[in-house]
Amino acid sequence: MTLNAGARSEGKAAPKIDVKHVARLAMLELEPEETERMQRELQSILEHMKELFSLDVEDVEPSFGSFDGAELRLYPDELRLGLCSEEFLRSVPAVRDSYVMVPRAGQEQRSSGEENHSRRELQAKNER
Amino acid sequence: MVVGLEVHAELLTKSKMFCRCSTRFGDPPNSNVCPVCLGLPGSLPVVNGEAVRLAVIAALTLNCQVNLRSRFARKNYFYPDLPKGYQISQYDEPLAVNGYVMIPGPPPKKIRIRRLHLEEDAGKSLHAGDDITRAAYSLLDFNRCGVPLIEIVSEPDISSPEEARQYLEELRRILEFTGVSDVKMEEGSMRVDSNISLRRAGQDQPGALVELKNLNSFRAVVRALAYERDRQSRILAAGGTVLRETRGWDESLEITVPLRAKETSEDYRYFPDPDLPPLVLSEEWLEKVRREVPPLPEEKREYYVNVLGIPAYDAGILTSSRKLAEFFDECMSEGADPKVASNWILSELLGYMNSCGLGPDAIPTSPEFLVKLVKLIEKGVISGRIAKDILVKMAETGRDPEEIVREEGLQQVTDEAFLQQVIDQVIAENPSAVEGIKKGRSKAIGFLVGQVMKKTGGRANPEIVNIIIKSKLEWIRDA
Amino acid sequence: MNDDALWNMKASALLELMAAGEVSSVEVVEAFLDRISEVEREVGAFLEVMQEEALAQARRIDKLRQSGEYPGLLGGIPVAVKDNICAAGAGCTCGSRMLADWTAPYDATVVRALKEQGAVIIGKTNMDEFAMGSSTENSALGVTRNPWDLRRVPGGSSGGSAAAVAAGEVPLALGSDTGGSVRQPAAFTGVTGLKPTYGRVSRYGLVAFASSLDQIGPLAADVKDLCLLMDVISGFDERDSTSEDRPVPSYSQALSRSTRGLKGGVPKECLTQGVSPGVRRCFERALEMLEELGIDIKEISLPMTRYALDCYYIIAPAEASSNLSRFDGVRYGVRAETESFEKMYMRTRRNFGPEVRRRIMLGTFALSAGYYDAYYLRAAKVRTLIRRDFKRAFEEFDIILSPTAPTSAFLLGERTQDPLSMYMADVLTVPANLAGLPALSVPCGFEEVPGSGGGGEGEMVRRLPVGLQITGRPFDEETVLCAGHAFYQAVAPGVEAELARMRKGLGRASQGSTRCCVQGSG
Repeated sequence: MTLNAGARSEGKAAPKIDVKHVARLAMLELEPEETERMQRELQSILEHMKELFSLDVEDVEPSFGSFDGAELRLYPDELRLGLCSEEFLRSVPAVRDSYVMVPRAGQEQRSSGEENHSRRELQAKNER
Repeated sequence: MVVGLEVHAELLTKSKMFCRCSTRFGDPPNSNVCPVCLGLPGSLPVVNGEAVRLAVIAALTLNCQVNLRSRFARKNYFYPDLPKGYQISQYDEPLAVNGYVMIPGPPPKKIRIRRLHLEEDAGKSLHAGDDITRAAYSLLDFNRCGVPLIEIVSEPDISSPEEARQYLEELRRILEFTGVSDVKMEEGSMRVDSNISLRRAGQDQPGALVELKNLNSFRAVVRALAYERDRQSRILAAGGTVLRETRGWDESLEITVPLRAKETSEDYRYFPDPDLPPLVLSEEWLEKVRREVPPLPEEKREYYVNVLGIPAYDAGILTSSRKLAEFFDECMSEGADPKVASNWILSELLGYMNSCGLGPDAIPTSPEFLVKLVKLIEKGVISGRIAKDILVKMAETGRDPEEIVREEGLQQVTDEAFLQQVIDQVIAENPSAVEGIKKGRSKAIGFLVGQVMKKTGGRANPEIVNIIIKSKLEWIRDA
Repeated sequence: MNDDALWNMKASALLELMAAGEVSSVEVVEAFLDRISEVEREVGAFLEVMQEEALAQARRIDKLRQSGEYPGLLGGIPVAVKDNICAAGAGCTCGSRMLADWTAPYDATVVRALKEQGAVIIGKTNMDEFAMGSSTENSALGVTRNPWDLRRVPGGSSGGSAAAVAAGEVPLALGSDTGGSVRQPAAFTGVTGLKPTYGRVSRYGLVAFASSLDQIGPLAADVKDLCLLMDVISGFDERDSTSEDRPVPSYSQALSRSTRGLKGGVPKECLTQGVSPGVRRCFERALEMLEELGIDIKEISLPMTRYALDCYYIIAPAEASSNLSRFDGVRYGVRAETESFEKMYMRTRRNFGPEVRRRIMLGTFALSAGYYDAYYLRAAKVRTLIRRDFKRAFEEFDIILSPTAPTSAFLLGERTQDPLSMYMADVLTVPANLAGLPALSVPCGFEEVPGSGGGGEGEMVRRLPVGLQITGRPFDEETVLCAGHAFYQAVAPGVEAELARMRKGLGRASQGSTRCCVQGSG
């Protein structure tokens, strides 16, 4: 993927991506054959990135953006009109009594302990 | 027992952390929202300067070192009440580090604070469907979404449930007193998570860390920690191993229950938020904020005692709440005499408020009115006794005392000719008292004064009445 | 159809005609709407054409003009907007099934600026899904073809905007550029396109792909028209913390400056791997022309730019993986109803296409525990090295020159099976994004490729446009545009003759078609 293929370093092999784990983190559902293809494609992308590891960047400051020395502006604490409730709720797939409705957490997010605790826990969890 | 606490407190700003929607509590669902706090595609965050100022005040008051350069980072996880799929927080470059709080003990102890950082709150979920077996769904309100929070992370310096309680009390008092947060656990403006592990006797390393959640009151913190201490020590005593996990406090059963195993804990994939350049504060700005930091209760108390001459006990009550101390301070700037104002606040105003169950954040009158009332007494317009009745009326109606006095004709009677008449009448009606006085029972003078006050509905000026009665009785004695 | 048709004219000329009262905005807008209905079946540049709103706005502008009021810098001029930029009341699909039915409830800052300056928003253009791609083939909602050769891609991700301008469907368009998404399609379709300095144009209302790289940029037939758009969209926005609060010059006025004595650097790295012989010939000829214009050209080295593509394909997906987390079906967009919200999330997020899923996976991996330092942090550090390369170069040079893309437009389907070959299309454009620099693509000639061949109308050779990229110092768009303008004027006679010929050839297939060009469900 780099311009000078000839100069590719003999660095160590790219790590093997745990595609299932990454998909879970990304909240993506992969079909079995998609998992395999994804594994292949991501792996080949990482292989091509190996040259990046030949650079010594130990003492280099990272750039997280293009704001060169730009400082964050702070704004006065004044109210401004946002969206009205109806404007927002119009685009929401499921609404009840001006609330946005979603299915509840699945078992895996609920109590791994006694079943009869889960409702209260969830309530409490979301009181936070 | 090794305990560390993570405290979240909502900051007292009018608008949210990254947009200018209202932070008001209790508004209709989804009414304080905009593209930014709803995470609509294309929206971008802009920082509320007041939130930064309040967080810095909290950091300074908690003896933290404020970083002149800090950074916002994204904490990525999926939950329906988190619109963007990430929370804007701070990670490896927090606003402030290395603070501490002193707790009274005994013995007094320093609890170190590892870090204090700024972040945004998530929305609120209500859960419908009573049973997990029934079709169940959650209802989301995004009004709270984006409300500014500070997270205060302590070092694991706490070694008992009681120390945890003292630490939290101290934090609450400080945050409330400095006006940083209203720290109401019942409204969720202060939230506590805890880490706890037990150190096995003879070992240096503490055991597995258990995270406690759902601690919705100080009492819950204390009970949950005590429960966990006992649970873990039982396991260790039986030769077992404590699991590294997250447990929740069940308020009704008073036990902790596992929420999820820590091994599968989230990978939040923190990284610097590319929508926000680093937060850079100048030395001058920090100095300015340092000067604005309101004095803490103990500093204030000292000032009341040493400079204003208020008894230590009274000063303690006045500084027990920020609102009360503020009320008193405003009375001072209205020009009231410190001791007189303090007495009126402590005996009459607080007495009334206690009888109606009003807390210190619901003082039913203004400093301006209280000072007016005191001045009416000083000028002799009303008597102290009438003033007490007027105060109740002020509290009940929120009206101006001068207005009450004028409309209800409560001015003191100082008209000597009129008072002469009343006194003559009283002397005539109470011959036995007069006799007593003649025999040297001076207490009876007080009785006669009382009778005059009664006849004038308390409006007679007691000093003038006293003088007239004395002169009349001297005359009687002489006769 | 002839060369004097309104739709064949540039915005600057149309503004003059309208100001002189020779044509009305309604006439102009109708001309372009007609042109759209004539060629759209072939080109497929638009996801939504806002005919009614456009005509209503045109009538408003005409009324303003009639009453002697100033209708704004772009009074009455149609503008197309890439479908990842919010316009209140219009769809904003980002080329994705995820947002196929979503209506934006607010205006992006640039859209508001356009409206305030009298522009007529005529439609929303097709794009690679969430701007991830270099051919517009990743759109889930329609195919956009290169007007120069309908078998070929228009480039991407702003392929719809570029194709629309090239085909004469609109004189001006907005795109967004994260790794070349304005410049590369501009090069592929023979128009001009600018990626402004990071922070020059507000991103508020641009659906984020990679926040630290994204910039909205204009596309137009020539640099003069490009400046008209830049004059309207540039400037500080208090809604975007990354937009910079500094004065904005008049870009249109800057074009009259002399280019004599400017120093131009040509990175020796830019002509190595992957640059086609045709592109190389065009570029070398362009350098000669620039020298004739008095620009002093020397070779330079930007050694770190060879790592730019790797660096980009870590940083952009990492940011994207986080930016696209909000598409969960909770508050907007499509939702797959299931019994738990986790399932709902996963089913809903099935609406992301393969390239978007691939990049979310790559980015999630690059940020995940254990790999953050090795991938994301390392890439951020390499980004610093790349920025330093440019900083050093700009101490000596005023502009840096390269081809915009290593090849001219490739065939539809040619690279879809191999993500890496697709990524190569960005190799010359990503450095400017990583360094936050302004970069312009301007047509510099044509590469000859095999035509459709065969008998009948099929020709043996097809001429495809090639772009010259001019990169400048941060916030020095003036120099970039000025050099680009001088250069374009030198090539304009040849380029515009070809353009006119290409435009004439379009629309034959759509005889008898009705004015209906709404694709997808935008």
